[in-house]
Amino acid sequence: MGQLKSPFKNPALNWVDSRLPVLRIVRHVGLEHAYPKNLTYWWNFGSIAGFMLVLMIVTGLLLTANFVPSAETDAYGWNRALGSVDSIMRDQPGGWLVRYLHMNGASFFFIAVYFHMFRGLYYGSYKAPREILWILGVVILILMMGIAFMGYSMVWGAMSFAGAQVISEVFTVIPVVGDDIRQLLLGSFTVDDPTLNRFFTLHFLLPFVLAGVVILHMTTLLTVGSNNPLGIDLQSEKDTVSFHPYYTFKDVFGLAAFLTVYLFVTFFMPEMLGEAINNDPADPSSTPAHIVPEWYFLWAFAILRSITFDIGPLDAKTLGGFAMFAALGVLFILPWLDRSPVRSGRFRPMFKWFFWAFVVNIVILTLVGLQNADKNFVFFGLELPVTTGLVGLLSTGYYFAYFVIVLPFLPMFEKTKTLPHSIAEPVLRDGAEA
Amino acid sequence: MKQMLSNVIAAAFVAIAGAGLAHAEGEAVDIPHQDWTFSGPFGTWDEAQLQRGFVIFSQNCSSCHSMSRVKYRHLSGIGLSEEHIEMIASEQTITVIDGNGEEVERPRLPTDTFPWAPGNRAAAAALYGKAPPDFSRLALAREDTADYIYALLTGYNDEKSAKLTKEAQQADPNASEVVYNDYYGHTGGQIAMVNPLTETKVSDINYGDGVGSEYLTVDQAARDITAFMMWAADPTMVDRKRLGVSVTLFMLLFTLMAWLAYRSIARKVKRELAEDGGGPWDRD
Repeated sequence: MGQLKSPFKNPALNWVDSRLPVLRIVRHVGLEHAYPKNLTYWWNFGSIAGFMLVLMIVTGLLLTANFVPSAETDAYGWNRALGSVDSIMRDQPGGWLVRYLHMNGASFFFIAVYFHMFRGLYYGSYKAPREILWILGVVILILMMGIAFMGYSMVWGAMSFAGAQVISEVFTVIPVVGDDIRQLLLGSFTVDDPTLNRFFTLHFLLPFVLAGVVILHMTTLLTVGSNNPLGIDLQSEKDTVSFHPYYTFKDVFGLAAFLTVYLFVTFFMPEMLGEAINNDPADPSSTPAHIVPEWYFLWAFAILRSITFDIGPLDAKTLGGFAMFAALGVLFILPWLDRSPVRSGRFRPMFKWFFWAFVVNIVILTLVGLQNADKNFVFFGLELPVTTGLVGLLSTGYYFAYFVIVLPFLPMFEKTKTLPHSIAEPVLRDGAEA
Repeated sequence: MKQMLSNVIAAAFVAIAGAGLAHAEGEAVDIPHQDWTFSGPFGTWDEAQLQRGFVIFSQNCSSCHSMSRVKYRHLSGIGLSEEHIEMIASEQTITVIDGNGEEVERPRLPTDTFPWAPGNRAAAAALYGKAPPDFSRLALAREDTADYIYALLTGYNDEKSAKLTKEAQQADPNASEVVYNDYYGHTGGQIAMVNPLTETKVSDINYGDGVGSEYLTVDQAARDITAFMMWAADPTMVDRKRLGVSVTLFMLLFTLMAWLAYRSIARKVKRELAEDGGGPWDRD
């Protein structure tokens, strides 16, 4: 690009762009790059997630101005961290709004990313040549999980404290260095003041690292091009459209609809997605009766708790920890596990069933993560005659089976539907389709 | 595609409903829903109620429970004037260290907290067996918020307490009295706090002038202190909802306009694509 002449006629734009070629990148992305013209609303969630990242960084910076990362406790049992959060909400003008935007923003960031991922799973967006694009997305997810977990600790409420204890324990399953990693994270042998300081430092730093990975994610996207609902490669300019104005307007509409829901929750039910008990200060001498993570971690939490038996020298706790790490790890090799040459689930009649079962399975894992493992599983108000623990084990089984059995071996049995030759073809043939 | 989207939305709603129900598993008791002036998207505080609640807090609760995040000055939020706040603050004293390093007692200022006799959590735990929770955010720190606080305050079960006490004392004559609350911990159970709002205690509340005797009932007192605790925990709730109504209306309108704009752009782009045969092409 550096060798190219600036494409701008306007002398001021030309002057800047000849020296700093940022404008031409924007121009290229917005006007010149070819996007499939059949992208549906499922393709809105990427830009929504990007917006949420910016919103989280901005509200986070505002909160940092008044937050005190200290677990020091006063005579009333209040630590300074939760005290400063309380002050932000009680005394800072508009502080309650910034805090609730940040708190609920984490949930809605995850909602956007989960939709984005389910879309990628259904339409085979992880398949060649988009393997690195997908892997960078998994890196983003894992960074997000770490950032969200440490962010939840910032409040230093009762559940923050319990959560930090439980999750830091998970690292001890790593052979040899596990205990050291845990101590390094906590800065102590127990969850304490140094833990909060460390978590705060990382909670501040990692979002910028994440933003860097997002830039790589988008660079890859521009190189390999967007996937589309048909999952076929672009054939000619008949298949394409420029980003602006079509997708800019579509993204603004999608973002507005998403933000309407997000803001409604933030203003009218800001505590709905959190645990009430986290408004109580952390108290090392008393643990909440029912320790649960935030809703977006429940599926992984269910996998962590799913294994209740020992295998050989490995105890249940270790196996559970491995299962949770493997659940994320398997996503890295997904592009090579799925053997079907057809990307889009639209043309894979059998895959569809397994895919939707996978989505329902994630919902089940989420419910399992919320419920008591020894009691009967309650599915949408219906009490089933099986324990939550057993459901969790079976669901964990399906989670892994989907990746290591269904995706590699299904193509041997599946007869896929005939793919259209180009995006333009079905559009020309039956108008409103796609 | 539309089918797929509606499937997912339906699944999401069912998941949320399921999550709610999952909380009610086991022996959990349902907390009856109450009508509060601050309920709903257009809710407002009843300042007279908050002020009565503050009186109950000062006379009945604050000897055991602290409310350390709330200062006298915050009481402007329940409709008290600056002069009034200064006056009621100065009725209480606080011990501070002066410039010479000596302990002195001075009247409280609007920037001070409410007095709390135990002074610290350890002393409170020693006095009561268990440190009574701080009230600052307590109403938010319990599921069902105000409904739970009200249910707890009116949920003392004297019959069951007497029965359990009798059983305990049959086993051990020195056993102390058992107090049972139908809603404690969302399951019902033994609670360390004795009934703070018995009829005798409520009839002793001194509201001063202007508050009729009709407010001296247990039910009304429970509602008033609950409203005050809710305000203390979530003082910006009403402001938040008021702003939320405007924000929601704006977002709905904005979304509608964004949709209309997108639809008109989409028509134009599709017409151009049909005429010119395609968009940009940089795949080579």
